[in-house]
Amino acid sequence: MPSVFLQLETNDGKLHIVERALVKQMGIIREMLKLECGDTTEVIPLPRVDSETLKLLLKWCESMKSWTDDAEVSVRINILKRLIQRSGGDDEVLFQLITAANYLQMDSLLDAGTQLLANIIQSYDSAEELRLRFSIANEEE
Amino acid sequence: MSARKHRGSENMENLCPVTRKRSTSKNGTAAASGALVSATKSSNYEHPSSPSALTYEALEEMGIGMLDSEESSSSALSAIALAISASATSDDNSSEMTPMSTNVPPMAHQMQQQQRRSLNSTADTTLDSSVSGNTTVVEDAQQRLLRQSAEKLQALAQAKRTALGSEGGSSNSNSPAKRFRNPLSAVTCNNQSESQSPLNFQPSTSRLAQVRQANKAAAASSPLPPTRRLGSAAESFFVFRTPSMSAHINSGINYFDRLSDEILLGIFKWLPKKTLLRMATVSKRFNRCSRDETLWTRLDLGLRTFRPGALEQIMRRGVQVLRLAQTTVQEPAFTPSAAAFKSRLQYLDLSMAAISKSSLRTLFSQCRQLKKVSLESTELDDDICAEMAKNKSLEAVNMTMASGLTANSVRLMMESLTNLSSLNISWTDLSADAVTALVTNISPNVIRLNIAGCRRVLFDSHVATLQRRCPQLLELDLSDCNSLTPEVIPAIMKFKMLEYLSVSRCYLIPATRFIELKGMPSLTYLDIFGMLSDAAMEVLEKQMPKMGINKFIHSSVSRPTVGTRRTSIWGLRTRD
Repeated sequence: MPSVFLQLETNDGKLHIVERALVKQMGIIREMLKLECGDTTEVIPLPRVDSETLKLLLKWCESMKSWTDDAEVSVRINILKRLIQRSGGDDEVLFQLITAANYLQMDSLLDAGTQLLANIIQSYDSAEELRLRFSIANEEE
Repeated sequence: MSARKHRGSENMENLCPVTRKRSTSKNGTAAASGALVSATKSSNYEHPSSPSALTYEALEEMGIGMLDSEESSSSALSAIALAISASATSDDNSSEMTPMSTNVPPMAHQMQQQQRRSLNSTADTTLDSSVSGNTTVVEDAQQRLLRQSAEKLQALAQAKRTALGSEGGSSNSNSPAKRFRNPLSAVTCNNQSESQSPLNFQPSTSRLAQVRQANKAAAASSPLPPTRRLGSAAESFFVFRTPSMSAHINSGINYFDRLSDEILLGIFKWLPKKTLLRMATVSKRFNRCSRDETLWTRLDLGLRTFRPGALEQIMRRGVQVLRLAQTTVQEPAFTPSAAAFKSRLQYLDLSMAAISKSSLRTLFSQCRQLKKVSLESTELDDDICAEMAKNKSLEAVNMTMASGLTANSVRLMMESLTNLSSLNISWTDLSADAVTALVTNISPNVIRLNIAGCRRVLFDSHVATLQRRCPQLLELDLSDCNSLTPEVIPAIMKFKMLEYLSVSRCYLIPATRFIELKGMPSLTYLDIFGMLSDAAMEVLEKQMPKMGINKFIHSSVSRPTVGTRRTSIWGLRTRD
C-alpha cells in the first residue's frame, strides 16, 4: 500500500514530508497519484513553489481538513485572511498564494484568494486609488 | 392605437402585474424620460474613446441610483453609453482640461485671500515691532512669501481638486465639469502644475509624495501657522485609506504582473459590474481583461435610459442574456457600421421597451442566434419581423400587445421559425388574413400558443386548421376571440394532448357545451372567465371535479418574467 507520507520538493531544493491525505487537496498531486500505480516513495517536484509558500499552503490544507466540503465562502476567506496576516500581511503573500493555488490546482484556495482580492479591490472608490494601492503604473503619461 | 389600449385595459385582470403597472404608469415614465433627455449633457462630454466616462458622475447624471439594489447593481452599464471604444486618447484629456482649469482660479484665489489675510496680520505685527527702516525688508520677505505661497496654493488647489475628482462619488459638488472628468486627466493636471511651479514639484507618480514635497517647501520657507494648517489640510485630502488599510502600504511592486490573465479574469469574475467598469480605467491590461466576453454574458438593464450609442456598446460586449424591460433607448442607438456586427445574443427581453423601429431593426440585424425573445408592447414593422425571422433557432416568441404586425410579417415569421415551440401573439390587432397566415404556416413544433384577443377575426375554421397543423398542442389560449361559436368545440376536442384551454369571454359558446370537454383525457385546466355566474360555476365544478377551472388569470406563454420575479428571464439569471 502506498505510504502515508509524501515527499514534496520545492524549487529551493528543500524536501517537505507531508501527509498524503493533506495534500490530496492539491489537484496536481491528485493527478500525479492517479498516474502512479506503484509505491510513491519518489519525490514529487514542485518547481514553481517555494518553501515559504508551501508552508502556508499546508496550513491552508490543515484548516480545510477540519471544515466540511460546504464551508461557506466567507468563512474560507476569513481563514485565508488570518493566515496571511499571521505571516506578514503584505500583498506578496496573497499573490504568491493565488499563483501557487493556480499552479497546484487547489480550487478552494484559488476561489478564496481571488475573492479576497476582489473584496480588497471593491473597497477602493477610484481607479487612481487602486493604482496607488497596488503600484500599478499609470499609462496615461 | 387607442382602441388597442382600451382593449388592453379592459383585460387588466388577465394581465400580469407588470403589464398592469406599466399601463397605468406609462405617463409617468414618459415624463421622466423626457426630463432625462433634457438633462443629458451636450455631446462635448461624451468622449467615445475615453474610458473615463464610465464613472459614477455619469450615472448620477442620468438619474440612476447608485445603491446596490437588485436592479441597479448593473446600473453602471449605462455608463457604457459614454464609452464607445476602448482606447483613451490624450485629446480627450486635453479637451476636458478646460472645464477644470476654470475651477483653479476660484479655489486658488480663495486660498490666496486667506493666506494673504493671515500673512498681512503677521506682517502687521512685525511692522509694528520694527522701525520704518525695516519695512522694505519685511515687504520683500512678505512678497517672496506671497509668491511662494501662491505657487504652493495653486499646486495644493490642484492637488485637492484632483483628489476630489478621483474620489468620484464622494464629492458633493454637482458641477457638470467635474462629472465628466476623466480620472486619468488628474495626471495631466499634474503636468500642468509642473510647468507652473517647477520649484515645488518633481515628476513623481505618487501624489502623496508630491504633497509631502509641497508641505516640506511650505514648512521650510514660512513657518507660519496658517501655512502649516493649510499643509495639514492638504494632507487630509489624501486620507482615503482607513486605518486598517494603512497596513497595506504599497511596496512599489506591481504584483498583478505576476498573475496570468486567466487568474486576473478569475478575480474580475467576482466583481460587480460597476467595479468592473472602473477596472477598465486602471491600466491597459485591466482594460483588456475587463472587456473579456466571459464577464459580460448576462446583463440586466431594465428600467434604464440609454444614451445614443449605448445599446451598440452593450451588444459589442458579447452579452448573451440581456434584459431590457422597460428601458428607453435614445436615438441614434447604433452607428451605421453596426449592422455588420454579429452578436451572440440568445435571450432578449425587450418587454415594453421604448425603442425606435429603425434601431430595433438594426438590433435584430445583428442577432442570428436568438433563442427566446420578448417584444411585448413594442412597435414593429415588416422589416423588423423579417430580421427576427432569420433567427432560425428561436424557440419562444412573445409579441403580446405589439403593434404593426401584418399578414405578410406573420406569414414570414411562421414560415421561417420552424423550431418555434412557444408563441404568444395575443392582442396584436391581427387582421383576418394575418390569422389565416398564422394558422396555415405555424410550425408543427409549437406546443404553447396564445392568440387571445383576436376579436371578430378568428373563426372556428381557423381553429380547425390549427388543429390539423399542430395536433400536439399542449396549451391553447383563445380568450376574447369572441367570434368563436359552439362549433369550435368539436375542433378543440381533436387536440388529443391539450392540457390547458382558455375560452374566456367567448360569449357565443354557451356554458352547457363545456361539459363536453370532459371527454378530453388530457385536459387539466380550463379557463372560462366571464362566462358563468357563480351558481352556474358551482354546478360546472361539480360536474367536472377533476378539472382545474379558472386557475390562471395570467397567461405565461413565452413570458420572460412571470409574477413579480425580476432577476431572471425565462428562468435564466440576468446577474452573474
